[in-house]
Amino acid sequence: MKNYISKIKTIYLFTVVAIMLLIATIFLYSKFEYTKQNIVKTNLGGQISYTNDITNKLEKNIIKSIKNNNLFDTLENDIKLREKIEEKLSLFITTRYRYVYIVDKVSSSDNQFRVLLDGTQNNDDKSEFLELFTPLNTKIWNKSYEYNQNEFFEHKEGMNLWMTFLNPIEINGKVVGLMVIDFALEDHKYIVKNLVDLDETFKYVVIFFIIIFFLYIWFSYFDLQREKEKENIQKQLQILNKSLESKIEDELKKSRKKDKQLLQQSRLAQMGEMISMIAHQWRQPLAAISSASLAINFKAQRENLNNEIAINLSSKIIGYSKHLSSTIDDFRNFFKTNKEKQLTSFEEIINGAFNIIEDSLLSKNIKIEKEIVDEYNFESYPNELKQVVLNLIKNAEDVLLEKDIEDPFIKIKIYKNNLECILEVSDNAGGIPLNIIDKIFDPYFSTKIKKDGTGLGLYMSKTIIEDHCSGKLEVINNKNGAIFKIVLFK
Amino acid sequence: MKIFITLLFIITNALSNNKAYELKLYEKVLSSIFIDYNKINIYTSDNIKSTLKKSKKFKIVDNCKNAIILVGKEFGKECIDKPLFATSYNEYKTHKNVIGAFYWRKGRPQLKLKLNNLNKFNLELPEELRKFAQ
Repeated sequence: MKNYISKIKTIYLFTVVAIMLLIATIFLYSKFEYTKQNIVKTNLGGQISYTNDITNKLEKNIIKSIKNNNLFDTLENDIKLREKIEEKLSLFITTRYRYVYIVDKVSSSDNQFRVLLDGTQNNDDKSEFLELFTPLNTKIWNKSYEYNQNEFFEHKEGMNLWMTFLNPIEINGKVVGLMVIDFALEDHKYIVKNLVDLDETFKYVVIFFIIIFFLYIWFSYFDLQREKEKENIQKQLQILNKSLESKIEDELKKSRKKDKQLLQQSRLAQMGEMISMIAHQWRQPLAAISSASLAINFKAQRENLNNEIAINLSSKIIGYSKHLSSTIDDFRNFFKTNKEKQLTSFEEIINGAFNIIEDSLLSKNIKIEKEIVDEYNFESYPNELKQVVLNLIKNAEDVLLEKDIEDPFIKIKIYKNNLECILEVSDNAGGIPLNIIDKIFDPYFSTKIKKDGTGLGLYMSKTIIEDHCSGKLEVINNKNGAIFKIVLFK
Repeated sequence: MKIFITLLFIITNALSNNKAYELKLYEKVLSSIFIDYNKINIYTSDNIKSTLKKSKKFKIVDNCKNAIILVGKEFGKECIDKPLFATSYNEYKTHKNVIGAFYWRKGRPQLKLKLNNLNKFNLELPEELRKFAQ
């Protein structure tokens, strides 16, 4: 939520900055336009003002020369004066001031003017006295003549820009002629051109900025939409995560409960087997105790029981009783769950297991081979490991009997390498079929359906070794049979 | 009126593209005066010859005899009887058979038509061109 707010604020901040920049650009552009107009006006105004000064001086000079206040008559009658004034007019002709001449009007209704004086020095372009002349923009010329006011206007000739300045010559309140000056606006044109170029560039910048601005607004809008969508998805993910967490928790609880149940089932199954083993182990000592008791009884009835025989037989009974008691202890220890790790070794573990199962195996003519290559003490849970070893031996016994193998044996090998302590339990029952070798550690998978196998033994063994003891339980086949490997890390 | 407006337009534009618009002006004026001719035979002096050659309405001839009108200035005596459309103020002022002129004065195009001489050659000036007549 905090990030969302800060994100929105950033977008708004950038939008405000973009709007301010846009306003500033438009303001600058307006200011530039205003300044441009001022520059153009000022520049042009300066030239016009200068030209106006020239025409005023010329006008005064010409008026001084006029006789009887009649311009036309004076000029018509005095050729020398015409030449003299035209010479003066020609002095003003430069590359900038192209034409300086004086005209009057034949009639007010006519658009044609009459050239009175012409400062032009080029004979091809020089007008004769009283030559009729048709100007462009005759309306402005007429206006200047009729209303006695200065006029100026631009006109183009080819690529050149010119300004025509019209200055009425007034004698006694009457316009008697029009002084015309054509001057070049090249400097002005250059300034205007540069300003126009600048204006064009500025326009492109403004247009570019406006496009960028709208693109920014457009992107910001979509970014905001995307952010909202992201937020929604994140919220949904959070909700999903919470529900997943709770589901996982539930499933873990169920799994743990199931594991406990499985362990319980497994133990119950093993207890059943243990009881048969106890029965088997007890049968011989009990028979021996019974035999010793009968011997005592028989000798006592025949009065043959002397002290030596009684001590000998009772000692046997005591020995057998101790053996029975020891067997009970072994079984009781087997079912104790270790809460803490203890220092132990594989040899100790297999000895404990053999104490329980050895008689049963020997009675079934199954040979037991022990090969202790290396021995190493480690900290682990001995009773759990003993359960696993017993389970592996018991499975080997079952399969040897089921397949009725000739000269059956179970081999126990203990060895180590740099990192691991390894206990192998192998047999000569021919191995595990390859089509089921990947499934034998799955819960409820059993090949001993007829013998009421629970399918939990190997599953529990793997759980004990890999989850409790942080080791590995693996199986491979060799030429004789299966090899189960318990690998514990040092 | 249409011709007059066209002429004004041509004169105004002549300032920016002299040669092309001069040709248009000659075409308008001469074809309005010599209305019965599909093609006007012109004998011209060198200064305007290259411009007039470009027109499909004009045929530039090699001598005065085959010409309907002379365009230009400073023609020989053999051409003295032919009507002239002058290209200078001096020619316009002095030539006795001048019917009109087009020339530049102080950067302004000047079109002038001489009514007396037009009548002398039995040429009729359209109403629209009378504003240029003297």
